[in-house]
Amino acid sequence: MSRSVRAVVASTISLLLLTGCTSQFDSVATISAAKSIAIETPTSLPKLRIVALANGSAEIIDALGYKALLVGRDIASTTATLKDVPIATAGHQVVPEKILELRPDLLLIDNTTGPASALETIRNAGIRVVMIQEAWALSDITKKIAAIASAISAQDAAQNLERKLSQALAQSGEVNRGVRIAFLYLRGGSAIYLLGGKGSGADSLIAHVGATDVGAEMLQQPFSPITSEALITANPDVILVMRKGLESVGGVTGLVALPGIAQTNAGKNRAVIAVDDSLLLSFGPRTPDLLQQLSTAISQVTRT
Amino acid sequence: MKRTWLIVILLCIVAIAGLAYGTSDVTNVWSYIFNPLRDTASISHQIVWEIRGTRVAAAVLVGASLGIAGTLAQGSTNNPLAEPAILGTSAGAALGVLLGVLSNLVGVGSVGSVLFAAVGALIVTTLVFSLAHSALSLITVGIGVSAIVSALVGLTLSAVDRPDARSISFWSFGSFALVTPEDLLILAPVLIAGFLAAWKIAPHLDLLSLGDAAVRHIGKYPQRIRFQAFSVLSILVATSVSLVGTISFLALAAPHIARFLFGPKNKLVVLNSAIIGALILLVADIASRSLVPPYELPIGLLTSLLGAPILIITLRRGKDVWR
Repeated sequence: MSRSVRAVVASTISLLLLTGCTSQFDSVATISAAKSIAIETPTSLPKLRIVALANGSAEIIDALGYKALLVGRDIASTTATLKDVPIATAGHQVVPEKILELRPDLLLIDNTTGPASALETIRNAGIRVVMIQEAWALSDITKKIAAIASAISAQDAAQNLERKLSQALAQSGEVNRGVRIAFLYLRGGSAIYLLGGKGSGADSLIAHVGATDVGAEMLQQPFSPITSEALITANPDVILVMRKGLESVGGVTGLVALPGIAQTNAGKNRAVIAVDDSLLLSFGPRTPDLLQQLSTAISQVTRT
Repeated sequence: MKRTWLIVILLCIVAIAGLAYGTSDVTNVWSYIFNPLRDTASISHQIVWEIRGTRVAAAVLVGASLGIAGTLAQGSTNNPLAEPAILGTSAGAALGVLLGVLSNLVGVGSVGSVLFAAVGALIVTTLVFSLAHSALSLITVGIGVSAIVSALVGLTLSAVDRPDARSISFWSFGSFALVTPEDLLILAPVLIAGFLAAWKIAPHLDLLSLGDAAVRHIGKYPQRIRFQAFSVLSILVATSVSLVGTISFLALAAPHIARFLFGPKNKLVVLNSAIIGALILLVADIASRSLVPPYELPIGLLTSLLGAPILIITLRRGKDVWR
């Protein structure tokens, strides 16, 4: 009798171990960091104190070798090398006092920097404010670098960086043919999910590695709430998400439990790629390495 | 009673339509609907039963819950304007879940979060109830307390940087997009229990319409009846708010329509308001997911668009039926 009990216990444990193991075979790939392309610091730097709030601008200044001029950055610039530059915003908001006490000569902003009244105060205090166009596609990277370079008079460095970047981009292209990818923007379990469409940024990355963005096929806008049925019909092989978004729905298990996910190829194979939130759409010096890792991750999660 | 059967049959027809229509075209959709066991592994079966079926069931359950909650709110306060959003119930539910999530005790959308929502809803509704000293001031106090609680929720949300807590701010929109079959296992028992409790409370609500003094003369306690009604409506509202978010207007409109069609007797209003609530929400949900494919439209706006005209027509036609 005790032997049969033991057998039951043993088989239950081995069953638990087995089911525990299956989760390790999940085809989830996480990309949490990427190497930045940078050029050497020029021998003489202009005398300039810069606060860089435009998305990704601090990262580009660093890559140009001009980090020594940075006296403040925005909360989204999270690369390790920028950790010692103070954050000059409160949350995502600009507070004039915080900027003014850094005594900058130049403030770099983009369309998302606000509020407008705070920027007006800073302009009135005699600080040069330069608007940098946001980058939402790979082709925007060089424009963004050029705009920043001309604001900080680093045109020579910019040419070097652009050359290195385009070489790196050319090497990281076109490896996964025919894989269908959906970029989902997730925020918590009891809300909605948004599908990235044309102009979401991810469409440019997905196209570069030779895969198909199912959202861009279906939607003209960057992000739209879509029905779960529409996602099933689109049937992606891989789901691309941001890491914090994936955490907010309770990881891959939570994601697959959302309506419409389990019925897709990606859901059935649990083929999910989670990329660091500030890295995925950074469109800067880390993007070539991100693309390299992305194409590796796509082959990894679609290997069956 | 004959009319009740008519709207039940209408509800069934709309529910079947809800299975048949959606973003995608399912071939042989009717054979999947009338033979639920056909080819269960196929995508068609999954779309009809797992995706559409879940939403149809959730819309019926939440709609019925809100219809009952609205009846209890209006009946217990003797005020046709009363609804859970005004009595602080919805805001209290959001606060409850927020505290539960921030203290790491529960996750958003879990059974635990429903409990936190119910406790929060009950505490805030009771607070409104104890601060007020008449049926009229209850509404004013309720609006005030709701504003305070919503402000607290909003401030906390903007101060914390936690993606899971952020999803609470999406609740103001309300959506059936992410309802899962597991949610139905929470919604269904709560609705059944809530309906039975409301059915028992309903005759006492009839007494309340005579005025508190009259109720006391026959040896009943008006405040106790109100507290019972608030408890039941708190639990009903908390469950639906924490699973699908705030659905506007339904709890206000459904009881009015029920009173217009079936008279002011609260037992009948409870039953019919539940069916009418389910019907309106079901139509709104079908519209939200199939009107502009592949987009998901915000359901709260559709319930207002559907419910408000019916409410206005009702009130214009039957000036003194409902009070």
